[in-house]
Amino acid sequence: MASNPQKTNDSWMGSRLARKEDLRLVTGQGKYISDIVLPRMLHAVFVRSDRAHAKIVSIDTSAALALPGVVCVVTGDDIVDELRSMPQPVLLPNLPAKYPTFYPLCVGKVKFHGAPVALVIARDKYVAEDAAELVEIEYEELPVVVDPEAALEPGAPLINEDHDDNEIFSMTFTGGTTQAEHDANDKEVEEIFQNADVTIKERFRVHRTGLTPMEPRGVLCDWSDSDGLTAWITTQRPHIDRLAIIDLLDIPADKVRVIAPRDQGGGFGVKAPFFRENVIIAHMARKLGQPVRWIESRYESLMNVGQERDQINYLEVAATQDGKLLALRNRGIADNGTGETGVYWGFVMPFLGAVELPNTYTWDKADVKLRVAVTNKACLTPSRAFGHFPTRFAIERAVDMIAHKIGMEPSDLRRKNLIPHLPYTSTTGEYYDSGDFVQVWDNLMSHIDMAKFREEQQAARSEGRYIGIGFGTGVELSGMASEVLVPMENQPGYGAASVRLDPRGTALVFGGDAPGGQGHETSVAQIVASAFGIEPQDTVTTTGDTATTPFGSGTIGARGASYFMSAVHNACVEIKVKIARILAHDLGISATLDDFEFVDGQVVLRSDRSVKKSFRDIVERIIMHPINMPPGEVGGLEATVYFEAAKPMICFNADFCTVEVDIHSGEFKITKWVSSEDVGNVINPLIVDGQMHGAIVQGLSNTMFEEFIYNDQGQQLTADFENYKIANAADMPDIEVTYSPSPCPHTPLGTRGIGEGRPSSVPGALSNAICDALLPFGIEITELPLRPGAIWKKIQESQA
Amino acid sequence: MELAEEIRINATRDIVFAALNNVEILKQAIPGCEALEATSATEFTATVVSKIGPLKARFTGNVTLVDVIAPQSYTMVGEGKGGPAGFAKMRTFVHLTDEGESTLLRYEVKADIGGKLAQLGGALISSTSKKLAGIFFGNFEALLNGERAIERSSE
Amino acid sequence: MYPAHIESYYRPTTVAEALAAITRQPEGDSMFLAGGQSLMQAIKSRMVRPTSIVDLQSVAELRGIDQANGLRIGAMTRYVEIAEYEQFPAAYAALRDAAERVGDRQVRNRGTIGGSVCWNYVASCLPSVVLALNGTMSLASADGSIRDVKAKDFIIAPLETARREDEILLCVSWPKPPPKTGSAYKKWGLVTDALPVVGMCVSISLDDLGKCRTAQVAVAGLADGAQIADAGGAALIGSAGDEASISAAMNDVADSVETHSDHWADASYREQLIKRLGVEVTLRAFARARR
Repeated sequence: MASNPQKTNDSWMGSRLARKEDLRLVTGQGKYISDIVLPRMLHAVFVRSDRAHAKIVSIDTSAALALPGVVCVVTGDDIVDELRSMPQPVLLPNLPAKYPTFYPLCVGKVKFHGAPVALVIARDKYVAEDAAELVEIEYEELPVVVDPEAALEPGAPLINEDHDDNEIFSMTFTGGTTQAEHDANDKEVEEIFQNADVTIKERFRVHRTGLTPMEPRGVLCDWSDSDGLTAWITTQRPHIDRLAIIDLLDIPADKVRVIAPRDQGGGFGVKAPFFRENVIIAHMARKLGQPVRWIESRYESLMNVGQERDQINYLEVAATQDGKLLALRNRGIADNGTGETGVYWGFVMPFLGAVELPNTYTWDKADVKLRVAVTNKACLTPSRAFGHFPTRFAIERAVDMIAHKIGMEPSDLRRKNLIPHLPYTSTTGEYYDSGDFVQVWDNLMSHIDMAKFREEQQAARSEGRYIGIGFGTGVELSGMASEVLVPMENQPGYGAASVRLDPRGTALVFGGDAPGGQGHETSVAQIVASAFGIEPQDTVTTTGDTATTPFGSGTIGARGASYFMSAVHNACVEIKVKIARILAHDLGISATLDDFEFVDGQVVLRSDRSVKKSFRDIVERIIMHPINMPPGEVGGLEATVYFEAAKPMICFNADFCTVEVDIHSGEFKITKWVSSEDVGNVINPLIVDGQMHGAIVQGLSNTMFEEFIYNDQGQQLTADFENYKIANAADMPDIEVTYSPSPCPHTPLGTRGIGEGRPSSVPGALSNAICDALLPFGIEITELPLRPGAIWKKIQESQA
Repeated sequence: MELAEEIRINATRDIVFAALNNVEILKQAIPGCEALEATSATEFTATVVSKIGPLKARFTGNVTLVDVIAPQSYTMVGEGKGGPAGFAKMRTFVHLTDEGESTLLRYEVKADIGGKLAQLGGALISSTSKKLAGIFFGNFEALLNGERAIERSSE
Repeated sequence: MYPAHIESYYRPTTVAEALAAITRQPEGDSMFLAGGQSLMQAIKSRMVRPTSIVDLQSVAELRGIDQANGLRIGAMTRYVEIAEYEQFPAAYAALRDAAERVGDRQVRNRGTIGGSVCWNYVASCLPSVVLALNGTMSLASADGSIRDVKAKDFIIAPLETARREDEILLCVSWPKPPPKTGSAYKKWGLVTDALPVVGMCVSISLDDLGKCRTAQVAVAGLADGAQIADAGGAALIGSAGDEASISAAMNDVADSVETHSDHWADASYREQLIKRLGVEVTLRAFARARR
């Protein structure tokens, strides 16, 4: 086993190890879903609605069927009696909502531009697309609803006709569980507002934006009567997908295997829901007895997934004259789209967004309510900063507005109101387990001299230049404990891992969650190498195959370093305990795990370091030659551990940025971006830095450029990258990531899960910086996206 | 997309109004029109090939004349399907004002484009629509004067 | 998204072969492929459906920048070649300004000046530059004839040019420039190097007193596509290159053209961009002219 020069301090923990995945990924050796080719594989293309809301009058498939090479053309009516409809319990949150009934293909009507109406299956992918064009659909148009507030008006055109209005979900998040308790709380909050020294009230709007994974979706299903269904799906949660397929297609559980391809080009939430396409492709593979493959085009992807945020928040904040935040009152309206995706149904995102509204500040009381509206748009799909990108924007802007009103530095007001001691339960009931927010904040502030900046700002103003500074904070999920995930998604939150040593000392790790490029393979290898004193290359990780891995709810909510890797570590410890016991027996001494050190490929007795055995030898002895064992001991070295943290866990970040704004064009340049992170103990700083950069860039790109646009007829106009603009590297500032860690007391390695919510503090920080720069003009930013044209217009209006 | 214009046509109002209802004239005036048939006094079926440079879409659909107040005004309501390219719906109000030997024609078009065509971008659609409207009325006036249509295709 | 069926693919090595290939199919069914940066998108999304493609990438006659007789740029010259060409006279420097900022690195390596002006997308840079610089397009036909068309007659409307489907663009050319002539181009788009929401190209010739003798202003990104703004050219005559007179001229440009609102910018912001970019670009053109 060669040694790697990047190791630090006899441990791979904290090492900036180059990722194991990368060589294959950058040399074209990655194995993605479209690299999987099966004999007799057929190709599927969806025919999608070009209307936003219409009855399906007729579908003529004759011309398509007549094309040579076409195997079949399937419509909703064809399959209605052949499989179950949604909803199915395994895909339902334990939340009260008006779940729409739907099939994988539209039945009776279409509800958004891009909805799947028919499926063409052909022997050749070109013919499939030719045939899809020949399917003729006659529509009878229905009135289109694209405004969420209009959708909630009484008498609005009804979209999901198995319910009586377009409100898919609503909830009050504060003050208790009964109506009486809510009313009492509302009154108390109202009293605070009545008596407060200062209040603000604003309407904050965040547009429809989200993300575009580099690799769109794909499904490949293979069916044989003997083995059943094998489904390769670009998914973050193969185990959940498998249960859904079992229930929807009524296939015996022993006959369904779901595999997330080893390499996926990004997930970020988009590959977390359970999608219609999974069902119909599996169904048709079974029906035809041949493998069927669907690879999503970029056009389809932009039409159907990646759309998130899209909320209006009517937010009020009350505070004292000396900057103590007292109460917040929020009425959230979320634009759900149709709601037709499993697990999330669109509304689970704004649900969590409302929960996370109080953020990192103490509030005496809060009154938080949410209504989620069904509209004729694609259903929201998760995009990290899951649901709370808009509520973070609102609260961080509101904090600055309060600061301005009372003449306090926004940074001072934040520090004054940061939760001083954890654990803490927010006014919406979210549990923050550990961390020192003030320490992380002070670390951030050590990177800027505020007094000096204000002087520079003053000097710049006198020269007609406008610079500003803005702050944002975020308390983010570090995994999701079962006590949170079961109510929210009807799924368990534990992390599970199997570690198995082979006789040559290689560690085989199995995990059920499917990564999309976060570097889990590398982080896992570092944990295992640290635990056993071996090299990272001696670990092989298998993920995402339901036949071989323990159950996992998926790569979601920053479960990696928080839950899954804790399970990996604990499984290693279990194995080490056994190795220590047997080795002690072999040495004829009384010793336990604590008496040994696993380092440099050796198991060494701490009290006499000349007493040692090579790791490989002891492993081989236990697996291959299990004789003369301690009484009752059996050979083999394998452990499967399910890890549940004692309490739901968080991580924390604070950002500031400085900008310079050109008042003649509204253009702004971000001159500095600094973040201060508490992500607990870091396994691989290279990976974590990358996560932070990526998250901040996504936040900036969402804030400034990316926008999904539907016109008033529900036509989606941003279905290519010419129109859905993503940030270039050239548009992004240098990002300085700094760390101020508090090890998490609830995980064995003190690690925290990262990356899920990280983009959320970005829009507030950037908007605050621009407003700060333009203070002489009295500009208030309450809407995203942030575009130079809009900023310029506000400056013009203020000067008029 | 909305478009409104006023043009002066060198013919009396009665002639202009009659021509606006004349299938033969309309067929020759509409850029890219391959077929136009009256199924009743006020209903037509049509096939029109629209070109924007190399981009081409063949629309089949129908047009109905409603609110006909001869010889002053009518509204044309049309819908055409362009196959995989998308579809278009149009409502055009046409109003004629008598100016002696000439007629002042005002048209107001409200069109909704859907499908792939809508995703081409509003600027391309509106500039093309203006151009097509211009070609139509240029042809229309020429035909009224007994001349051949100037531009038969929409190129 | 996969193209509709393509029957034939030709890769000629001479112009004559290319013209013979294009006329082998009925009109409209065969298309020339230059850099493919616009056309391939249209083919893959099936907005165009050629049954035959004549790929020009091996036609050496169409490549190259030559200053033997004025300036001649072969139609298949890639943006990157224009961007890296260091001997443009100041009069034609706008070509480089535009070429080095189209799309991104990959687009610049493949896309061509010929493809850009023949496609004439509604929002594109090179067409506005050839208009402002008054370039000449040379079009060859299968019968051996060559006709020269001035840019202002060549650029007709978005996606529409004077080139017939069976003609090939050989090159864009300019005469040796008069002394004291300079040009510049700059655009604004939402992200770096994006398609122009507004692009401004200005060409200035100075008299012996350093005042503007002739000028041409062209605007990119308007709904009607690349176009010359006569008001701007006229207003700049006599200017000494001071910001006040240039500003006034650019205000005239903004007033003379129709701007539209869309999801990138509204009409009034486009006017502001015309003014701001116009001033910046004109100052640069003056500076280049003086050298």
